Amino acid sequence: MLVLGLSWARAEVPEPQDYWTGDPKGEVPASLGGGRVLDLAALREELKGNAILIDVSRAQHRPDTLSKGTLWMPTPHKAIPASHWWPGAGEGRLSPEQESAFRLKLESLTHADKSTPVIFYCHEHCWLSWNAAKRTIGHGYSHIDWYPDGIEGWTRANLPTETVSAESSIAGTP
Amino acid sequence: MGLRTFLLMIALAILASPQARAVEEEQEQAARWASIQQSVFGARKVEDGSAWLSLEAPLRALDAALVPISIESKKTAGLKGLYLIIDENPAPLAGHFSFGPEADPSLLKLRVRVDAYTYIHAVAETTDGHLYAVERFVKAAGGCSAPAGADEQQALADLGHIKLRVTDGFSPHTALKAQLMIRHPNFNGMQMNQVTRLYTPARFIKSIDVSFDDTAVLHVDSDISMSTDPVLDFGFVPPHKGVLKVVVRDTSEATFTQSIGVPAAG
Repeated sequence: MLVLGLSWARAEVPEPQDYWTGDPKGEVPASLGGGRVLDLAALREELKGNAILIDVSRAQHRPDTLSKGTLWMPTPHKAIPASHWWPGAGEGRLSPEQESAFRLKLESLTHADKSTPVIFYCHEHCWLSWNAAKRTIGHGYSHIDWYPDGIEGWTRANLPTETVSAESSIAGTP
Repeated sequence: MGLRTFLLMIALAILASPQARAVEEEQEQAARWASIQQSVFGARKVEDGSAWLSLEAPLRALDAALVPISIESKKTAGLKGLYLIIDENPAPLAGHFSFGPEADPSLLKLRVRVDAYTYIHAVAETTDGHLYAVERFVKAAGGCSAPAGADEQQALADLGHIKLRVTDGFSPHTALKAQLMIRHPNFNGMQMNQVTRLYTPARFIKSIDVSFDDTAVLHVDSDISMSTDPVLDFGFVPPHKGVLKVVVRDTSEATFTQSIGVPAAG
């Protein structure tokens, strides 16, 4: 009975039918239809193989209307080593152009082999990587992983990070 | 195995260890703080401020868009102003507070946005030109891009409503505590509208002036790191009965004012 109660408590956030279009920061589901959810140990195991790792966190956006005197010092973007950083790829809504840019980037990275393992992450309590993983599954990829603990889960374990630059953004960061 | 190979292996082992990464992280944090100091204070020396200030902030914040900060000044004579700096925010200088003749600088409280795990620095500037800093580490992330609220239209409709209250009874030349609450979304330009997928243009409070019977109490230059609906606690020393007045200006050149009698009428 206790075990049943716990499993209910963990299933509080159901998977939405479609992409998540609300605030990307918040409690996320414990599952990903058509894909696997990785904990840190499983992620590290997966990284030993030929998996492609994609960080879909948003980039810092300098406000257009920021006054001239404001001190603006963006911080370097830290990622799990060997990550590709695709800001915008996890947004809930993409235009047809953005959707096709996303598909082409995936094809190029996986050499159009839809069985290539691809792992998505962003931050903890962040829907963007869930969206991006779901989107990739929708494009017919068969080995899609999601690491919901994100960069915070990685750094909490004292694992090294790497400063990366965005690879031409998909959406949202002009 | 040659000695060189052996030493290289040791070096690599050290580099990969958690301690080495912690050291590396500390070096990066120190470098960022040095670079911020250079931008804000130029070549001026920033000394240890533990005799001047104490800075309170939660180690782990519940809401990164509403991180409570409290700056206590242990010495108030000769204190000209305070800087609040959130190192890892893209716009690190969160606020500059200048104290007027009728200020009680001993306690300031406000709420800020924190974008990443960061050191927060409070820097006291004295009338003789010294700078004294204290720091705190805060674990919070994402506060800068967190939506300002459910409804932008509602936020703009309430914009500029000010509540001002004095929380102590009046007695001449005695420091009183006051609280200022401003309805303002403080859009920082980094928040995305979830429906239109456009960034909400920045519109935020750029200055707050508090005076008592036209004598300055506090001037604040604020920036995009101040939370939505700012709440500011401050102190002042009224020499006699009078009127406490607040003037708030935002980046759209809108001005909002409020004043109350001290002691309150009735």
